[in-house]
Amino acid sequence: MRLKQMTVIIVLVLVSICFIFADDLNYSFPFRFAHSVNINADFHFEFWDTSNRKITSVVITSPGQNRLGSLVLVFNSKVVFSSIKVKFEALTSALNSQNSYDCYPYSMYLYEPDTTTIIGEGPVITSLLLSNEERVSVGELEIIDGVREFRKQSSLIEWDQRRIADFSIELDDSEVMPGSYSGYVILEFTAGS
Amino acid sequence: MKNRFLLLVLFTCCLFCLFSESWNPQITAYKRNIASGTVPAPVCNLFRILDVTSSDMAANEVEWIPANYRNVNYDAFSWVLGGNVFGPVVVSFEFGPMYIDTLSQDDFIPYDVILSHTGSRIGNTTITSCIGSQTATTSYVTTNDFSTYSYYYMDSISFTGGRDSVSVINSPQSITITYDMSDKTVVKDGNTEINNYPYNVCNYWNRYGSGTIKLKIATDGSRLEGHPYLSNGSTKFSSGNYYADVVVSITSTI
Repeated sequence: MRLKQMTVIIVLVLVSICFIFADDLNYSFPFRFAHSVNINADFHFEFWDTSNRKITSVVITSPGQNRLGSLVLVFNSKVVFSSIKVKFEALTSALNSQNSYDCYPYSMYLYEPDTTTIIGEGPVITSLLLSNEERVSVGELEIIDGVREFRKQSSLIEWDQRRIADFSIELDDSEVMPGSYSGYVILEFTAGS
Repeated sequence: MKNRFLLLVLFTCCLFCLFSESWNPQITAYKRNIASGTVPAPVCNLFRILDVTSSDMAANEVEWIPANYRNVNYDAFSWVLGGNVFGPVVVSFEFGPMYIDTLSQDDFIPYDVILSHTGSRIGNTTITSCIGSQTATTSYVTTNDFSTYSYYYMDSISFTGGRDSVSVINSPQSITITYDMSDKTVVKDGNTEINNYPYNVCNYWNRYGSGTIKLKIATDGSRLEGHPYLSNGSTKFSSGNYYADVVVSITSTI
């Protein structure tokens, strides 16, 4: 048997791999380092709660004595004082937000840190003592008397702190109506050197 | 007729030989796996700078060095460089002087910088990094689908001039790193090399590094011995905030 004449068609499959040639890749990212230098002696006072956090207000939920935190001296270099005085001023009574005629009587105390030794106390604050613009001073207490030097515990820290006194507010709930009360207290520090 | 038949058979066999590769079922399966999709365009711009807490820094962000890290090493930052450029990639770090932030710039804090390469990866697989003139054996990546096949890569790392650290005083200083990852994919079945493809199987790598800073200032704010004093002869740095500009540049030509 004769083979038929065949036409063989050869299909060549060309597999090409395309390399994508990109332009030059350029990328830039800026940032900064910074460092603060303060060689000037500086200090201030803060109020810290019992967890050593700086606070500007407290919420009291229990009557009686509430030890709220500490008065703290914060400083960045050696400081020398001849005295530190604290003046308490009750700006308002603790008044009921629903009925401004009701007040929650309270008094303030200062203790030596971590002790029950009272170094200062004030009168009981009631609405009878205050009018709208009146401020009642509960006394100026001299916390330190005589020259006292405060040095940083380590040169590796920039700011150090010292507890000067513990602060307490005592609430008298003997004749108090239920409600939410709020009041303002000002503590003014005077440091002599 | 017989001769024609034989010629036809011979010709057909030649065709089979020419395209024999495509008839190997194993290689066909392999090729199918890697040939799917389009080879992505090379990129090398996924770059992350991380601060001391390993959080991403934004461009122009400021990282403050704490006061208690004076004249001691501070692990200030790290980076992650990602891409699929299989060839030379140059990363340059330029560290500017640390000047007090005033117009007069009349005071500066010298500082030292050390950069370190900490690793290279393809996907989650660590690959060998060959730093400088060292030679190293290649490491490999094994796919999940073809466990007997492996792909070999080696990442070459070099610091320009062998310099991985600089001291910055009152002029910018640079450290340049060149990465060069091999661009061959060697496929082996066990220990038998099957083929050497001129393109890449895995198309993404990451490189990691870190930077350490040492501020040349005493803990109490004094100048260290050897610092060039100002004309007023003060032994302490002026109070204020000091800033140093850093620019990281990445270039690659493929």
